[in-house]
Amino acid sequence: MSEDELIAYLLGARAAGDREATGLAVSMLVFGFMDNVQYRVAMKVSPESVEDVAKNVLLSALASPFDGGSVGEFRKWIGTIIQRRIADFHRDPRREVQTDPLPTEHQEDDDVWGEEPTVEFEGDTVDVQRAIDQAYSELNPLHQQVIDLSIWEDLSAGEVAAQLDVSADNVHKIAQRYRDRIDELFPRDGNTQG
Amino acid sequence: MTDVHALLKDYIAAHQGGEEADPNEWLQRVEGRDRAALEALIDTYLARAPMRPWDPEAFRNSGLAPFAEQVTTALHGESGAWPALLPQLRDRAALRRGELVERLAAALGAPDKQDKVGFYYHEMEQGLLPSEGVDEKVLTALGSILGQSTEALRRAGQTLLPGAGEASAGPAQAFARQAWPDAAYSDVGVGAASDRDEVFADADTEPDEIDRLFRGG
Repeated sequence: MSEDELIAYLLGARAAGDREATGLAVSMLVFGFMDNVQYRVAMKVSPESVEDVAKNVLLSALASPFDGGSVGEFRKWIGTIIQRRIADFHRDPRREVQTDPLPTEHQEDDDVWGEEPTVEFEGDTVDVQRAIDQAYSELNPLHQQVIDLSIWEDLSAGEVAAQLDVSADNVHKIAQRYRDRIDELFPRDGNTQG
Repeated sequence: MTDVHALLKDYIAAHQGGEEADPNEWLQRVEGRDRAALEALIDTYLARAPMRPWDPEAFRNSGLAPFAEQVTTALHGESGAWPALLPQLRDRAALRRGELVERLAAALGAPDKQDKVGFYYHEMEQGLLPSEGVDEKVLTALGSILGQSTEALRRAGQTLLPGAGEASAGPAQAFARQAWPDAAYSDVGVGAASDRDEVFADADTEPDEIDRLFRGG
């Protein structure tokens, strides 16, 4: 069952008042996402707070489909909520909990997703994320697929070549050009982009 | 300059190999802008990584079952996100429920009514108490104990309420299970007041101030 199918199943189970089915869907989603959410949170908050923040992320994400969010964007909700909860954590020393599902947070906005939070502590991270996104957006669809498979799924050049209409040699070249472009957009040798 | 792309590849291999893959172990190997770059690259990878395949046995051993149970209770209850949130906050404050109830009753000016306060607090954690009926005074007192604002607790009580996805499954269903976040703080016998008859011994008694504070009107 895909993520989106699981969310649809969860919505249906709750609507039917089927607590057992709801519990299974929630368990699968919590189990399926908690590790990666904790890893992402752990890069930004103190170790003793990682579990709390990660739970709040998943709680908000699981609330979102019931608050007007459309099925099919659960992963996107998680990404945005992670950024918001991390920002909340750094902004509020009292660690006020935020449990609002995502759409409600933006109910005053024309764009329901609003702006990505940018707070001071993120600094370079925001810049490098933009570099990663921009380098990717500059590629044509085929080359984006090459990057998806070779870098983000870590397949070998031969495996990528077998799936796409491109040689293994070109897979290497496309991947290297992508890395070089990221480094160009986000120089790491102390030079600023000129 | 450290090759952050090689470190990313190494991280992905570890993550996909099913190893414990705390990114901080890799981030410790770099600093400055290299660290920022590696952090963003790992985050980009994790944002795209497939969800962990379902494994019932691994789930049982993961320690995540109580949280999943609390979220499920919230989804089928009338108290919004309180069933998932209040145990977490109580754990964070290292408060046994009996201690919390004692302090809550005192803050409400009813130290002699701990059983009734405990009964209602139990209903909040179990998703049985309609959140809209809980008076601001209760949330302010509870927030002061748990380090939260009245508004944050109010918002939590309004999250996940039935309506968008279902009619409420009803209290009996939600009451069928209980979940505690940490056995060390799960003294069910203190303040749980699960036997309603003990708390409301005299059925003819008029609702008092505590009833009004938790159930409205």
